[in-house]
Amino acid sequence: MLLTLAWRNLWRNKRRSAIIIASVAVGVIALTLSDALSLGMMHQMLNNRIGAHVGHIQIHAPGFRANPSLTALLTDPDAIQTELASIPAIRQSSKRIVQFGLLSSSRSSAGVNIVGIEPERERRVSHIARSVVEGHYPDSSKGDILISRHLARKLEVELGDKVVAMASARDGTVGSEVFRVCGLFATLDAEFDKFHVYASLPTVGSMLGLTKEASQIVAIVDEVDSVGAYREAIQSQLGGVLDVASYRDLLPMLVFQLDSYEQLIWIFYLIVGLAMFFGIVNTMLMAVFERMHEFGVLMSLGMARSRMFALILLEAILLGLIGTLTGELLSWLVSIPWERYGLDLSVFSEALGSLGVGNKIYPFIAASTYLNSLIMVPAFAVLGALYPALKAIRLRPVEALRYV
Amino acid sequence: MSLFLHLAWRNLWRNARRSSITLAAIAFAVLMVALQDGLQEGTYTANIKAAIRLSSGYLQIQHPAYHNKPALRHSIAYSDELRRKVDSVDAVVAYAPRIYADGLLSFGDQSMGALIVGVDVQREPLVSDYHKKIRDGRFPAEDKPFEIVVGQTLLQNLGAKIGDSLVVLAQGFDGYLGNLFFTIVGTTKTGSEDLDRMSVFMPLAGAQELLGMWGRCSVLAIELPRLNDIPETKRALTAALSENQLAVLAWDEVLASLKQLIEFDQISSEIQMLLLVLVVAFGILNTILMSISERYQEFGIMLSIGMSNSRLVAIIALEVVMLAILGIFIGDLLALGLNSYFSVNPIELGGEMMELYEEYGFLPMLKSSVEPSIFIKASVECLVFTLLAALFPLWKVYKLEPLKGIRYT
Repeated sequence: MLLTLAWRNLWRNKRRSAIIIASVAVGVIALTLSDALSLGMMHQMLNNRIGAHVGHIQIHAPGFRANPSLTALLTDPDAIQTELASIPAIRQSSKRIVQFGLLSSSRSSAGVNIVGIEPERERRVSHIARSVVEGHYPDSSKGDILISRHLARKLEVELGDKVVAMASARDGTVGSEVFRVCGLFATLDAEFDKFHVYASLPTVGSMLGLTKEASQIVAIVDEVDSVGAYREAIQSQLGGVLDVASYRDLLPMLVFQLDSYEQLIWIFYLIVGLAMFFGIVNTMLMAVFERMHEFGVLMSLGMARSRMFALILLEAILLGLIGTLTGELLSWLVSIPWERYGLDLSVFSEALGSLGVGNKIYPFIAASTYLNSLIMVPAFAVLGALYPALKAIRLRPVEALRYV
Repeated sequence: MSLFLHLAWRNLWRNARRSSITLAAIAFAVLMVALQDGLQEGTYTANIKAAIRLSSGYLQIQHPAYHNKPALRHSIAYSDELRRKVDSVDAVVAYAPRIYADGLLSFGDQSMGALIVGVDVQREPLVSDYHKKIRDGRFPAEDKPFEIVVGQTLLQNLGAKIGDSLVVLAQGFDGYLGNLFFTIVGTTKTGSEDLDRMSVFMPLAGAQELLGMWGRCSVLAIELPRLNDIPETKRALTAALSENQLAVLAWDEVLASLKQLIEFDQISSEIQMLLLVLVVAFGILNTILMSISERYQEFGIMLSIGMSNSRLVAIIALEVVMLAILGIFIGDLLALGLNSYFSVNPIELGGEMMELYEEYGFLPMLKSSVEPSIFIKASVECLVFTLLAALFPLWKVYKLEPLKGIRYT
């Protein structure tokens, strides 16, 4: 009964309701779209890092992550890969040798991570093959090296030029090897590009005096969201000696940033909610005073104060809900082309590059975003109606009837 | 006019409750915008100064090709002539030559890549804070060219300790590989994990010997008193060095990505604040519209006894402007209080938040600022939006006909 009454009251003064609904909707659009933009950006940062190099799961010998060198190697990576192949959730795995070294051209030199990869398997665990912008991806043949466009500029080399890699070998001597630049790559992460070069695993292995050892195994799983559970499963299947890490362990700061954003976004909701609150208090106040006469009549007829109080709050909730839903609908409409084509922010390409985002941001509205505003915004509408509603029920019926 | 002012002022307080709430909304918007801008301005300035003292210097003199191709080949001669010309520019407080090179450190059977920084031990402390970042041991002595300070993490990874000797291998100026023994005398903890894992500091003379760079340096870093001195000093230096074919770069050119990161952050929070002001403006539009429709009868009567529409509009516009100015004043006052508190007592971040800031190369703290421009911007922004919000209601009053007003219910 109360609900029907509240609903009818809303449409008695269409303009007033429309104004409140519009101001709530504007607030909701503001909240939703800026949340979508931030979430899109952070997920892109994370996914780009996962895609470029990190993968979902990495397996190392204990101690490698603290001090990435040849002192902590996987002694039998092939056995681990066979083991991994028997786990259905793992889509693909690939082994790598990683050693920091010096890459020199005739002009200049740079400190880089020399990554030895299995070219065919690597294609299926990272985007690096797709990031080649000039020349070709290294094949298994000896002597090909893939370096970033950024590094090529620094070393002043072009496709086909010779470079010398030097790094400490397993026996403590300095191993070196001559490579030919077969291709140039560019990922979205400028910092990453500066420090990574790729060559085939056997070449890098023989340069460093390794036979069948590897530094790490990277794996991609089917369901990214259950990566924690997979990590546990792999850890126990491999006997518990090896260091099995998920991207959440490997990129702790990015994961923390995303998690803390999701926890802190309510502050922004609070601020925008407060801004809406002022508008709502005023409008509800006026709405209530305009209708004092009517409330006087209702009270004289015997309507309980508590029910009248509830009636006014109910009207506010309805206004809040309708406004929120309108805002969400509009945001959703705006986000369709955004999610599809992305927002081109190439003006900031260098900053976005160093953040590892890419020139385009693909905002997306998470279900939690819709849910958050659906709860928070009507709550603020109710808060805004509280004072006017109190005012209304404090009046004595006779005064209310006389109120002008 | 004074009658109008009087009328408008009285109208405001005829419904004191409504006016106060609108006032609160405007003040809230100003406070939020000024607080946010203050925190950004203060934090950025602190970070820029830290970045200047930790890497670029306020200005750098470089070979014109060095910025794009940072090779030893694009180094500059550190000559008496250069020193004399730099000294001739007034604002220059100090300058220091630096050599940057990539190399390989070997200790025992471990080798690690490293960024070699060669510094003038005497001059460098005037320009940067490297000497303050020593964690253990000391900075190299002036007369010992082959002493070296190693990043703390790098030292751990090498398994070496202070007092050990290590071999530094690097490609020199002429393209040949040079290697020399250096003695570890200290470790650094800079606050940037990358620097601590990658970099070593050695005296300029040692770096020149290792790389065959006698009499040369990669860049000349220049210290100025204030950030605001940059544009003019840059012009003066460029003029003084016009015959030398050298480039003068400001910190924001050397650290272009930091500059863009700041701009990006500024724009994204600018958008957030605009959205906030927009929401407040909608609330104000709402209030004005309703207060006007409540007073249609009154307006109708005023119009029928001979008041012109434009005068009525002027009175209501005055009401809005008064309300806006009062609200902005209150908001600015509150913001000034909070901003000056946070500019003296920065919020220090701890735990993982601290690591996150350091990951992006920022100081783990939030500091505010009381630059007048912050308050001016917030005030203008809110004033403009309030006035925009009043346009539609004012237009309705302008179009009001006396009879319709009187009969309006």
